[in-house]
Amino acid sequence: MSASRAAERLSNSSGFALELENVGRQFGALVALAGVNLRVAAGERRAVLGSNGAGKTTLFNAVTGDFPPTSGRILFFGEDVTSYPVQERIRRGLRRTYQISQLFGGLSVLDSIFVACRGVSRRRFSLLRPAETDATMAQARSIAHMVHLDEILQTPVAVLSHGQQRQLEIALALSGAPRFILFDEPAAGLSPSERRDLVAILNALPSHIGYIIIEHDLDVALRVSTYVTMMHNGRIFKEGTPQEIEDDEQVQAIYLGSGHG
Amino acid sequence: MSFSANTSAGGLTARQVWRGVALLAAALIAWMVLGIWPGWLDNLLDGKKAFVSAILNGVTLAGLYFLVASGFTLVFGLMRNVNLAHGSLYLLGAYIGYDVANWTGNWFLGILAGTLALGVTGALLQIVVFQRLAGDELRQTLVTIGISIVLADVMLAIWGGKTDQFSIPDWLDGAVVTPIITAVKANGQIVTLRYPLYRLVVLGAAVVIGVGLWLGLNKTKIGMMIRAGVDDRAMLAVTGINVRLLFVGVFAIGGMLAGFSGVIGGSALSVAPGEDVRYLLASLVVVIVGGMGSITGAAIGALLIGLAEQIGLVYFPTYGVVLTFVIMVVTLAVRPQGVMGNARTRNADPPRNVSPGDIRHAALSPASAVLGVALVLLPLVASPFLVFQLGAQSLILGLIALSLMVLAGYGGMVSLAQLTVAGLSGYLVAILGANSTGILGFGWPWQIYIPAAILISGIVAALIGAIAVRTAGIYTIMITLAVATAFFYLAQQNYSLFNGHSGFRGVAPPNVFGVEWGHQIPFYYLTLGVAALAYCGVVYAARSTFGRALMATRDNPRRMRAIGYNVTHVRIAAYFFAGLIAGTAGVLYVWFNGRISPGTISVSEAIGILVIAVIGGLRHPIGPFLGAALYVLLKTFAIDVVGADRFNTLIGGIFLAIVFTSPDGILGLWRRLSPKLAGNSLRQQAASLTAQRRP
Repeated sequence: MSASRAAERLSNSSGFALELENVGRQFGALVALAGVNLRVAAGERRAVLGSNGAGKTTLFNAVTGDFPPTSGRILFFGEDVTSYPVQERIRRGLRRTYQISQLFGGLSVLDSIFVACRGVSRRRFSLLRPAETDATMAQARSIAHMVHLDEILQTPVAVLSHGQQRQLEIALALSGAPRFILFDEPAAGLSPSERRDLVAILNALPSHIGYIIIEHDLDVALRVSTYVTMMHNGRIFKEGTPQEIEDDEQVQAIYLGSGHG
Repeated sequence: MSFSANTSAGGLTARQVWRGVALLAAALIAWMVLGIWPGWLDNLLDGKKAFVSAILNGVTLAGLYFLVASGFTLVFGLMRNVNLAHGSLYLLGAYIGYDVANWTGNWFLGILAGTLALGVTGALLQIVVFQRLAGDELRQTLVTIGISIVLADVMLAIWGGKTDQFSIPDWLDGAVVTPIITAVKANGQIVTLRYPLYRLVVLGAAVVIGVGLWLGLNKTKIGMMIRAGVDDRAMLAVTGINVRLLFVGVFAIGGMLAGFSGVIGGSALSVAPGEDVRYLLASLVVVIVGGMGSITGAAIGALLIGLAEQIGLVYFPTYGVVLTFVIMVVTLAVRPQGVMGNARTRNADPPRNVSPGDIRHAALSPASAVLGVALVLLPLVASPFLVFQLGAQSLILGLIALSLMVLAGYGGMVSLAQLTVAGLSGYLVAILGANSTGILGFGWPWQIYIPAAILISGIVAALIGAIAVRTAGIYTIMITLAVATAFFYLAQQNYSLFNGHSGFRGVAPPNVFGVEWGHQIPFYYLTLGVAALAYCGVVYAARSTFGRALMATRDNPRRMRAIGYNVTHVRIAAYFFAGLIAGTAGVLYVWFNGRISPGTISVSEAIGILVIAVIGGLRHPIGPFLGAALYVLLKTFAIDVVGADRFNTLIGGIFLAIVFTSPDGILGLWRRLSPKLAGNSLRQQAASLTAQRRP
C-alpha cells in the first residue's frame, strides 16, 4: 500500500502539485465547471480571477472534495485523489481556507490551531492532555505568531474581530505541514492595513509551499502570484503572467469593467 | 436536448421498467386473491389464510400509521419542528373523541370533536410555545418532550390507567366477505376470506386523506406556499406572505390529523396509556424510512412498517420489532435522508452558533472538591437507607446522564439511547453473571462478566452512534429515540434472551476483598468511587486532543474535514466512550435495583435521563449529577407534596421551565443569579461582560 503510494509519488517526475484533467461539476442542470484543465507546479503561486459565478469556489470544492467533481480527474502530487474523501486529501498535504470563515466558535485561538495541527497526526484520537512542552503545541504557537495572533491565544474564537477570524482561517490552513494551499478570497472584508499584513504573510511562506489564491482585489492578487488563470462561465479562458493579464483587453472588458484603465 | 437520448440509451426507459414491475405486481396480487396455492407454499406460509390476513392487517395498519405520521411529517416539513408530543396529541384526540362519543351516543361526533379539539390544541401550541423558540430546533424538540411528559401524566389523572373500548356504529362493525379465495372444500365449494369491515374503512380513510393532502400540497396556492416554505422559509417570508399565520395553520392541520387518527385508531384497537409512545415510535420510524417532510414518503414508510409489523407478528412473534428496526437501519445505511427525503435537509451540517458565554473549561474547582468531601462524609449524618436510596441512586442516574452530557455537551449529539446502553449492560450482568430467576445466568466470575458487560455496551453504543451519525442535528434525537423504543419492545416481547416482561431478578454484586458490596453503605461508596472516577476522567479528557477535536467537530464539522479529521470516526468514538460510562453505570444500576426488566429501560425512563441532564446543565460534567440529585429528591419526596402519581407533571414542568429560561440548566441559573444575589450592580455586570468580549 505505502510502497505503491511511494512509487506513485516517485513517478511524479513532472513536478506538478496539482493537475486537473477535464474536471466538471454539475448541480442538477446547472454546469458550474465545464471541463477545466489546470496544472500548477509544486511551489508555484497562482491567482485565479473571474467574476462572480465563474466557478472559482466550485473549482476549490472539487479539488478538496467538499463537493467532488462529477467528471474528470484530479491528481495531487501525481496521485489520483478524485475519489478520496476530504480528510484523505488533507492528509496528503492539501489545505484550504473558506470564503466565509469556517471556525470553531467554542474553542480558543490556540486550541483551534492545535486541533488543526493534530488533524494530520496519528495522535488525533489521543485521550491524553498535551503537555506544556508538547511539540504540536509549540508548532501551534509559532503558527499563531506567523499570523499575528500570538497576543490572543486564549481568546474564544466567537469573540474575535472579522480581521482576526480571517487570520485564524489562514492559520488553520498553515497547520500540519501543508504542501499546497487553496486560499478562497482571504482578503475579503479586510482593512487596507490588514491587506498589507496578508500580502506579507503570503510572501513570507516557505518556498516549497505552493498555492492557488482566489482574489477579487487585483492589488493583492497580482502581488502574491507569479501566474494568473482567468475563469469565466465555468471555463478557463486565459492564462498568463500578472502583467499580461492586466494588459489584456478581453480581460478588462469581462472582468475589470470597461471603466478600468 | 440530450434528455431523450439519455433515457432510451439503455434500451428500456425508466417508465417502461416501472410498468413492467407494476404489471408483475398486479399479476401476483390477482394470483394471491384468486388462485389456490400449491401445497408447498401453503406449508411455507402457514396457509394462505394466515398469510393473506397478515398482508391485509399490514396494509390496514399502514393506513393508520400513515394518518398519524402524515401530521408529524407535515409539521416537520415546514417548520423543522420535530414534534415528539405528536403521540400524546394522538392519545388526547382519542380520549376526547371517546368521551364525546359516549356522551352524545354518536361516534361521528366523537371523530369531529377529537379532530377539532386537537386542531385547536396544535394551533395554540404553535402560538404560545413554538413561536417563541423559532429557529432553535433543539429547544423546540426539548419542549415537545416536556409537553409529552406532562400531557401523559395529565391524561393519566383524568382518564385513569384502564383500557377503553369505543363502540362504533353497528353497520361499521362486523366482517364482510371478500373475494379472496382461501381454500376449496372437497365438495367443490369455495371458501372466501371474511375480514373486519372497520379496518377496511380505516384504510379507505387513509387513502382519501392521503390523496387530499397530496392534492392540497401540490395543486393549491396554500400548498404551494407550504412547499416554498419547506425549501426556504426566509425567502418565503420576504415575499410578503404571512408565514406566522401559515405556520399556525399547518400546526393546526397537524393537530387535526393527530386527533382524527386518535379516534379512528382508538376505535380500531383501544385507548389506553402507553398508546402515545407506540404511535410516536410508529411516526418516527415511518418518517425516518419514508423521508422527513414528504407525504408520499410517509405513505411508503407506513406501508413498509405496517407490513413488516404484521408479517413479523405471524411468522416470528418475539422478534417482530427487530424487523421494523432492521428496515430503519437499512434505510439509514443506504439512503440516510429516507426513501423520498430531500438530501439537502439531511446534509445540513452547519456550523453551530456560539455565544460568548458558551465556553466552559471544565476544571476541578475547589467547589467540586468540597462537594466530594461532603459526599464522602454523607453516611455520618444520613441514615443508611437515605444514603443508599438517595445517594447511590443519584450517583448512578448522574453517571448515565453524564454519558449523555459527554455526547450532547462536547459533541453536540443529543442521544436518547444512553439508558438503553446502560440497560443492555444490566441485562448482560444478569445473563453472564448470576440471577435468581432460574433462566440463563451463566455464572461467570465477576472479573470477566463486568468488563465484558461494559465493553459490549461500549461497542453497541458505537453501533448506535454509527447509525445516528449517518444524519446530523435534530435527527439524532429521533433515531436514538427510535432505537431506545425498539430495544424496549424487543426486551418486552423476547423471552429467550431477555425473559420478556418480567426480566431478571436477584442480581447482586459479588463479595470481593471481604466486603459485601451489596450492603447499603459499601454500595454507596462503590458508586461514589466510580462516579468520581468517571467525573475526573471526563474533566481530564475534555482537554485532551480528542476532547478538543470533539468540541471542534460539534462547532464546525466541515472545517474538521478540511484539517484532516474523519468526522464520522470522531463522533462514533465519542459514542463509544460515552457507552463505556453508560455501561459502567448500567452494572451499578442492576445491582442497585437487584433486578432488570423492560420497565427499567422504558421510553419514559430514557427521557428521564435527558430531563436529568438538561435540568442539571449540559455544559459541565457536574451538571448531570446535580440534575440527578434534584430528580431523585423530587421523586422521593414529591409523594408528600403532590402525590406519587403527579411526579411526572412536576418534573415535566420544571424541565419546561428550565428549557425556556436557562439553556445551561440549574448550573447556568445559579451562575446567572449568583452575581445578582451577591449585590453586584447591573453596571458592573455590563462592564465585566464587555471586558470579556474585548480580546
